[in-house]
Amino acid sequence: MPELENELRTRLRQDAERVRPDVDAAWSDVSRRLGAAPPARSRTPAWQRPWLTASVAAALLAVFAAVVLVPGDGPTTVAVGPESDSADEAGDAPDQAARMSADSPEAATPRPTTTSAQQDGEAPPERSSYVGPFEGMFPAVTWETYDRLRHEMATGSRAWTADPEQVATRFLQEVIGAEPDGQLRPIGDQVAEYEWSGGRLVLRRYGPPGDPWVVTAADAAGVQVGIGGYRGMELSVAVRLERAGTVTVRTGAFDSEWVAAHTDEVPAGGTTEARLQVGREDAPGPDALLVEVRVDFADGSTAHARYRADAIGPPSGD
Amino acid sequence: MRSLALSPRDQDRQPAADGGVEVLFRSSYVQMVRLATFLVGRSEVAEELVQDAFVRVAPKLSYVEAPAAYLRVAVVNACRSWQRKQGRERSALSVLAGDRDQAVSDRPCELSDALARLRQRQREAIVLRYWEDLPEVEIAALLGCRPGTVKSLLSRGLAALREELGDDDA
Repeated sequence: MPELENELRTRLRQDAERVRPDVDAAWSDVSRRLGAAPPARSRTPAWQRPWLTASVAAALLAVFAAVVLVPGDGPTTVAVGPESDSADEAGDAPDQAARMSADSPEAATPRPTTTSAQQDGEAPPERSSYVGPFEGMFPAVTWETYDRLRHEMATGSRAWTADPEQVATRFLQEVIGAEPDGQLRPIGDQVAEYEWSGGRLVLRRYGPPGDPWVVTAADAAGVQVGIGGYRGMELSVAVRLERAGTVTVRTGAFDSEWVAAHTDEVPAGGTTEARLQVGREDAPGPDALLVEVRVDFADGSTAHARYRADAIGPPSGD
Repeated sequence: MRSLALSPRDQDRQPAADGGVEVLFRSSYVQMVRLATFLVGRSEVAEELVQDAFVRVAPKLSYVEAPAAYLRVAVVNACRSWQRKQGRERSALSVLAGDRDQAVSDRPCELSDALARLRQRQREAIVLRYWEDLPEVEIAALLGCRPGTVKSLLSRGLAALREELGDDDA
């Protein structure tokens, strides 16, 4: 029976490859039906607020909730933030001439390019190089700090059961080391956003009033990333930018090599979609897969996000 | 198991029609269409069902814990409803008869034909297990049954597929 199961998986993947719907056309239809969202690759910024909205928070919650609530065997990094000075970023400068200026949104946009492998010889980072869950964005937050915090939140041993604004304030001061100059926006009884000058936190309470609030997401730099999950031979990643920039998405295995890359120039408020072929007979399993999203903004600043594929996708169910 | 249910207050909230919805759509659409195609056998129907499901759930996506999983539930339910409308037996036959007359460049064929001849719940379990790679416990939650039932559906579905495709072929 295992042979049949393996054959079935292979055939399903092969058959699925033949189904290639037009995502742009579909989104155009759906966005019209939704009544508010812009058409695909709109040149008009749709953001009404500087930071990620609640729906983005929801998209990221699955990842971060797993980080916060499910003790893992290893680090799971989701970070979007300022440029890292790590060595693996070297030699990765984008083509400045090809960048789209944020104030010239009608400039011609090259089609995205997706390659089967990164050609610059640069290898993915070592697994051990990850130092914290918010690496890049909040470098001071180490896994040690984060684990302690997670435990304290889970056990309610400190004042994490207070009102969410106090929790957000404490998180910023004690964990991130930032000034809590923002404002809380409750979303229902169990979710709240806190926006401050350096980014945004999402807090969630998984039980009734009195249970601790947990910081389930944090982001900065106006980058939102949605990952459709690793299924079959393909990994789907969508990236939306508040500001114009060049998006590079790469995937590969820790301590190994990049197996696929996608580069696209995205206007302010625009979205790019990467469908990366990651499956091979000898491909690494999802638990070894690393996804890196790098953004080179038109104004010269950069941001990057890294994900471990085992933190992607639906809840594990247990 | 984390609940995908919305609280009444959440359900009453207005939709957040913004880029986050687009990001989720773009990152999940192809996968959902493929899933639906396996379940209903026709990619054009699958696209309609996925789009309908997305439009229905989009207003709630901001407030569910796992939007992608929530969307998958909606898609599977939409496929089930469509199958129910078609009639189970008639549905399977129409898939086989109708699609063979169409260009097949954009749809699964051989295996999907075999899948289409499975019982609906067997097909759902098979696809969710071997295409979506979901664990049995999650399939059980999605289908609203016990994990043991999923095991049984998978076992019987595999046996039926083996017979359908032939040992040499499968």
